[in-house]
Formats: sequence, structure tokens, C-alpha cells
Amino acid sequence: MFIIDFVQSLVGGLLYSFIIVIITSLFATVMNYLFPSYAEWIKQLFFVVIVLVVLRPAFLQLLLVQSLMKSIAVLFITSYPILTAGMAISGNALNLINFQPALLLFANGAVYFADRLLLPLVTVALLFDVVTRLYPLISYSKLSDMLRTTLLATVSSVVAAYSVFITAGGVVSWGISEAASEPIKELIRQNIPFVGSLVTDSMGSLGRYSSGAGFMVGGWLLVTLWSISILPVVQTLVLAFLYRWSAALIEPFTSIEISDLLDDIGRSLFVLCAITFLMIFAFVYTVLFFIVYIKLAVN
Amino acid sequence: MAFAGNVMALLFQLLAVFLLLLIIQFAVPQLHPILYSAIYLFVFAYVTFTVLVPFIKKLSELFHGIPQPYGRLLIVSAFLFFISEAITHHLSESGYTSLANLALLVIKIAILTLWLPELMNLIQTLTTLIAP
Repeated sequence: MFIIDFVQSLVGGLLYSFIIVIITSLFATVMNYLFPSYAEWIKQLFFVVIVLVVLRPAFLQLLLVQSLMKSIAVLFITSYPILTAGMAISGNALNLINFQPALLLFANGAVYFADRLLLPLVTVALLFDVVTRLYPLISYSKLSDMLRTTLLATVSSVVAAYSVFITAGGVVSWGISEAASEPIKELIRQNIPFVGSLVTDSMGSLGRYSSGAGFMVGGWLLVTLWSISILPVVQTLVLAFLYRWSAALIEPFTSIEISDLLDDIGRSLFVLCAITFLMIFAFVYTVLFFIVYIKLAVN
Repeated sequence: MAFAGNVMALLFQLLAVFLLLLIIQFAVPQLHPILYSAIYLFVFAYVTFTVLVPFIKKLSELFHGIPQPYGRLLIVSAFLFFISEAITHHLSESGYTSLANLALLVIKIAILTLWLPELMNLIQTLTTLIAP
């Protein structure tokens, strides 16, 4: 019920703002017919309204991820000394389930990297999109496109490095057998643009990793942990899809710039989703490590 | 239907005004500019209050789905611009182009003042994204 409510509120708010886009563009058409000499101004003011009303969910999502990233970075900085000290004291945590100590460093590095470089770059790409449409004479569309491509490449290489790390640890297989999961992976890869291949690549590494930790932590706890922490990623993904959908829906009714803007915002949100995924990966890893460590300490 | 009849009557009245102006131009050519201006302003106010204002009210009722400040702001600014354009057009027609420019500038500033809070809002929204 909670999930349904959540999705409904998200979709409802967005749908409302897209209906507003359609109504407002119709209104602008009427205004242009009534006062033709005012058309230029109407276009600009219309754009201001679009940025303020329709892009608000995207901006809020970006701010949410920014604050999440900040707090997680602080959490890591404060907790890693304790964790490493604990590791040094009870060394058998490492023998038990092949935790790679270097992965902690890696997780911290990835979050730091995302907080300091990737997230500002996504913000810049988003702002470039808005500015390009606001003042079309100076166009930054290629730059923002390039930024998005570069960011996706960076994130996927980081995730690939994760999987190399985990595979090097030699932890065993993924719960579902490879043969069964392959078609599912292919389906996801083809249907979710950009992020799909990233998700499937990392799904394998996560599976390998989680199955190693599973017998220690307990399957349901693991499922709960994942589903709670994956929520921001899902939220961003749904938002991105809705933006691209609405861009497709309103294309016949409005000027091409508005629909292009919504489409580009959707793409930027996909990149944001990938970055959020990176953060979640590091977060879940750290929480699992905490659980195992405390369990060993209690024993 | 009543509204359409009203508009048709207005069109007829405009024609009558035109004929009246032609007669004035023929009878008292010296008085023609001032009488023309007076009649123009009178007819302009009449048209605005009988046709334009009710229509704009109807329009803003029709588009009440647009979130509150924006729909009203769009309509009001277009309306203001229309008024200023009518006046400036009349002024420059009588040869006072510099006065017309001034009137246009004043109305532009008025419209921008109406939109200033929203523009501030826009700038604020964009700057919160890049604030450290």
C-alpha cells in the first residue's frame, strides 16, 4: 500500500504539471492570436512559468540527492575509523566472508568523488539545458550532452571496477543461476535507456556480493536493506521516465523547445539515477559490514 | 448570442464614428486632430470595457487550471501591453513618436514590476541548485 501511495503521489503530481504545460501552451496560443505583437514576450514568460512549475520536481529530486550524498559522505568519514579499528581487532571478520578491506576505501572514494565531482557536473548539465532554452542564441546543448555521456561513462567504469574487486575476492555465485538471469538482464538492458546496462552489470556484482553476506546477515534483512536503500534510485528513475514520457506526449501541442527541454531534463535525471546507484552501493556495503562486525563482536 | 449581437452593434458604432470623423474633417479641418483624439480615446475606453474586459475575464475563468499567480499575470501583462500599444500607436500616428516611446517604456517597466517576484523566484530556484 505504501509503495502504491508513493508512486501515485509521484505520478499524480507530475501528471498535474504536464496537464498544466498543455493548458498553458493552449492559453499562450490564444494570447498570441489576440495580441500578436506581444508574442515574443508571451513566449519568454511562458518559459519562466514552465521552469517554475514543471521543472520543480526535478530540482527537488536533485536537491534531495545532494543532501543524501552529503550526509552519507559525513557518515562514512565518521564511521570508517571505527570500522577499520574493529577490523584490525577482530581479523576473523575478513576470513569469514571474504570482505575486501580495500572495498571500504573504494566505497568511500566513490562517494567522495560523486559528492565533489559527479553531482555538481549533473547540476551543471541541468542548468545548461535550462539556460540553452532560455536564451537560444548561446547554445550549450552539445556541452550538456557531452557532460551526460562522460558522467555515465565514469559511473559505469566505477561500477565495473567494483565488480572486478568483488570477483577478485572470489565470493561465489549469484542466487539465480546465470542461465535464468541472462534473459531478464537483456530485457532490462534494452528497455531502460542508458542506465539499463549499468543496472544489469552491477546486478551481477551485487548478487555475487550479497549471496556471500547472505548466510551471515539473513536473507530477509538483506532484502529489506536493499529495498529501503534502493528507494531514491527508483524514485529518480520513475521521475526521469515521466519527464521523457511527457516530453513525447506534449510534443504535438507545444513549441519544440519545451518538449526538448523536458526530454533533456529526463536524460539528466537518468544520469542522476546512475550516480545515486553508486552511492547506494557504497551505503549498503558499509551497512552490511557494520552488521557483520557487530555480530562478530557480540559473539 | 447576446454577446455576438453586442459585438456586431459595436462594429456598426465604429463605422458611425468613422463617418462622423469624415464629416468633421470636411467641415472643420482645424479641429479635426483634437476631435479625432477625443473620439478615439472615448471609443477605446468603450471597446475595452464592453468587449475586451469581459472577454478576458471569461478567458481567465476558462483557464483557471493554470497555477494561480501565473495565469492572471500572463493575462494582465498582455492586457497592459495592449493598452500601451493602442496609446502609443495613436501618439505616433499624430506625429509624437518620442512621447510614444516614453509611454511604451513606462508600460514595459510596469509589466516587469508585475513579474519581478516570479523572476526573483526563478533566479532563486536556479541558484539553490549550485549553492554549496
